[in-house]
Amino acid sequence: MAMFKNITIGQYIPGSSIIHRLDPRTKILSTMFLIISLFLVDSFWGYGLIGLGIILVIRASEIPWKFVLRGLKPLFVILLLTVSLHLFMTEGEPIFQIWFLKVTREGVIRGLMMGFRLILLVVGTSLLTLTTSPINLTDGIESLLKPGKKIGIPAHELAMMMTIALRFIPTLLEETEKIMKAQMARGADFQSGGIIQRAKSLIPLLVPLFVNAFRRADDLAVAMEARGYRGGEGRTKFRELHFSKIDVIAIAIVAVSSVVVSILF
Amino acid sequence: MQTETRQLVNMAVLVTAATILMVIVQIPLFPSAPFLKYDPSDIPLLIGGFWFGPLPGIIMVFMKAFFFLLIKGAEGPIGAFQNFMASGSFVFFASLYYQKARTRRGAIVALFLGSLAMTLIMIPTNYIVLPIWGIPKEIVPGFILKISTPFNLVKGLLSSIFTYLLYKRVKSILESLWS
Repeated sequence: MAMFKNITIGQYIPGSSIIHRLDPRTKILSTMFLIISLFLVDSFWGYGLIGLGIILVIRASEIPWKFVLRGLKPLFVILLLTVSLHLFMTEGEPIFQIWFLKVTREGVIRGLMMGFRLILLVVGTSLLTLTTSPINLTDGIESLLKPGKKIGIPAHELAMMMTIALRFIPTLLEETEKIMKAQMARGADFQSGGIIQRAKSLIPLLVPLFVNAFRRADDLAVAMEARGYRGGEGRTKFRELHFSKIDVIAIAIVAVSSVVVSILF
Repeated sequence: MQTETRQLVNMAVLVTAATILMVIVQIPLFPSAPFLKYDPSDIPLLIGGFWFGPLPGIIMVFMKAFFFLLIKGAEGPIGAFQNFMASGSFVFFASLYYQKARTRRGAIVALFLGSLAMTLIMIPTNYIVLPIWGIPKEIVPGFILKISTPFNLVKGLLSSIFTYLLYKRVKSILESLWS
């Protein structure tokens, strides 16, 4: 039973397009600009322009549409719910009526706008994870958080822990699968039963999972100390992040266009 | 023996365990809201919070929310924010109290307070966030009152029971590992 084979950490698709080569910090900041302007904009024109920008970035990133749209699939139910709720619940000029369900002009407009905003938000942010590998993303976060050190944000430790966690997720996932199989061989049942039954079945999974995790942690801590790990002070890096000219241009374009769109629409 | 490196690595594997539990265990609690699912990812974070204190607890919650963003692309930044607020309030307040009262009784009170804090904090959070999901403002209060608040309460209590049952057991295993 290969139950966890379809879990991927991040939807990163390797590539060498201009978007892939941008500094991760540029992409994180651009995504933040996008999120903020999506909340400030409140008109079809604004969403249209942002959508156009996102389409241009998708084209430039050379990521197949299939992968971009795949991210929307789990959103389908929420999207349907959102649009129909707005469709039927907004007061205004009625267009037509089916029994007690009244569809209004304002409802159609609001429903479509909300749907658009949700799609843009999801597609826009998924571009970040589609074009940036998790390790690069972690490096970017570390670098962006560095100024926060003065107020006590442990940027280096955070990045170190995220890297360790990223490295251990596949390993521990495999071990979890083994634990589940072993417990099922002993008669445990994880899939059926009511809520209480299923909650109870978690105990024989949780205890060995923790034991395994801590054993791994212990080995790793010993190895790190043996190699002289002493925290982030004075530690050098194998991969260094560099802002290039393209990064500066990209961030300028994103910043200016999101400010303009947010103000005008 | 407890060094900084050791704490760092232990926090990292607890986040790993949380991430895995978040992905593989999804139990819908209410038939009326199948999209609200219980996941036991708060348990390792609560254990970590009890062990290392409230601030490391918040850091672990932040990392879990980041992995949430990486894995569940569709729910995106809004889902990650809700995830951070819920787990964050739970872990922070529970471990803050437990730091002051490190007894069996203290753990029970701490977990209860944590669940309560999460339920209360998620009311204004959902009030702000749900309209962003596109749920019309008129039905948001009803949704919070009838669905999300009872869900958070049940979720908090379930995680609390597990943490209470597991914490000492896991801790004694750890101590045997180190000696």
